[in-house]
Amino acid sequence: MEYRTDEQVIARAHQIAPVTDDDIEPLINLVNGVREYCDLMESLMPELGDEIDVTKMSRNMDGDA
Amino acid sequence: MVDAPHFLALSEQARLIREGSITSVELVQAHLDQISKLNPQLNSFIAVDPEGALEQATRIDAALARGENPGPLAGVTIGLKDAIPAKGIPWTINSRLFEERVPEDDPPVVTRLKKAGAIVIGKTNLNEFFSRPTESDLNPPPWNPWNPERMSVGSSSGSGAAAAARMASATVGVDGGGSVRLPAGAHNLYGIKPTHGLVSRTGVGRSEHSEICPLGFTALDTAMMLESMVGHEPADDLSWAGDVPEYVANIDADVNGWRIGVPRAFIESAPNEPEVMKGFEIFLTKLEELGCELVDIDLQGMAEARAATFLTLFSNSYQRHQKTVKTDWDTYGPQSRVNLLQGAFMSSTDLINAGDVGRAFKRYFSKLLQDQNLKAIATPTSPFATAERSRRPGEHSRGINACYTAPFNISGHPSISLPAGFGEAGIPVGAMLTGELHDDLSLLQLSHAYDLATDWSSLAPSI
Repeated sequence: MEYRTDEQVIARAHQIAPVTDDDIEPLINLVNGVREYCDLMESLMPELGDEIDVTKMSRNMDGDA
Repeated sequence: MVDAPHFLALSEQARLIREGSITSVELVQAHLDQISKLNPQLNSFIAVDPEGALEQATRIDAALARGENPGPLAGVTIGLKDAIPAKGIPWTINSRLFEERVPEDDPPVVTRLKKAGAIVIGKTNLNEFFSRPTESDLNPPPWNPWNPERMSVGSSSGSGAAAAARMASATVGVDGGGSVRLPAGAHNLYGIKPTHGLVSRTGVGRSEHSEICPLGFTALDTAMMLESMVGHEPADDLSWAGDVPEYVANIDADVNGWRIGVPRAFIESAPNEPEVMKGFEIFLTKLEELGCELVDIDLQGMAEARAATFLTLFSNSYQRHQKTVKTDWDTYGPQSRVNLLQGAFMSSTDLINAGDVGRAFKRYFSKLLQDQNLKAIATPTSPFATAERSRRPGEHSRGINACYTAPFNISGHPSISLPAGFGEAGIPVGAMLTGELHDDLSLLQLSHAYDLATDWSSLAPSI
């Protein structure tokens, strides 16, 4: 996930759709959630040659324990 | 003469029509009357086809009079979520973008339902493109008939509301992260998300992990619907080509001794409302009374699998709309158009990562069931007792309302929501069973046993 700042998100949004000012704030909030999910996925990727191990994943709803 | 046939279960309606105690025309008219009476208040249906439905009912009555067998669902009515096309009825996905679209053909799943004798009475409401509901959608959101001052949980909100209000014998929705199981739970219905690939999505579109699912008053109704929907479609490379058992003929089973996993630690980590947990504990007690053995299990990876499901949904949604958001931005509702862009911020690697996590969770969950000899695991359907609670912005964007449901979309495991009581606002709460791939039958059998042992399916809203 390469869009890390609000400025990057806004620039990307204008590339893909004629977004309005009213669209920006909710979009940034949503993309923050997407970024969290993408970072979570990346953190689960194993070393080359290994398999993803679900038994090392979370036991709670927030994915942090 | 049968008074108020629309209040009967689908299975009973089908039997009475088959026996000649009521006609299909009488049932269709009862549902049309119910729609006329309640839909202005509830917004459950966004398109109704009275002429087409009565015409089909007349044909079915004539076929029965000739001694023919028009199918197991002969003469009953169904409402289809407006994400699913049906010949001759507007197909809008509740968007102004498709306000004028009327399909000329049925997709295979609708063809199968019609072949079984079901009559499509209309199309049910949903959030525009499965997003959050807003008043700016083509049609305003539906209200829950159990408390018409409260909104219906979606995205198959209209399918839940229409079935609960007895506007159709059963309804059909699409579940990409919980969008059938959540409304089933919030409307005192049985709603099953079948094993991935059992019901073909050909002609329906949507994410590769979304499933077309029935909602019914009873577990048997849901089984009858699902049995008519499953089947291999050669043109669909995701369609299951293996054997499928007969659900209805095998619905009665002795569930004594069945082991049911209860992931207590995971459940306790969710922000469950008290009435949800009260209903869930009563549900577990009833399973024990049926002879099931409850086993406390350690369940991992649910949050990660939920994230993987949503990333896949985001990517699929943007991929479908990438051209139209450029050209028709102002035609979309303000909520759905922003939602649709989420997938544009992911990389191909992010999507592949999500797919890998989903497959790992799928293998893990199947192994968990096998290693512990579990027929299913039990959880609440949603941590929340009302749609309003589940739509708090921070929690909605994190998918908290789908913390129990969404992991099993990317894993493909079958999962059914069952009635489990009512919350303080008078809105039903659901409990959920999730089982092994292609063992949908066990879920239906256990749900049927539970249904027979409880009174939930005999209750209807007093609206």
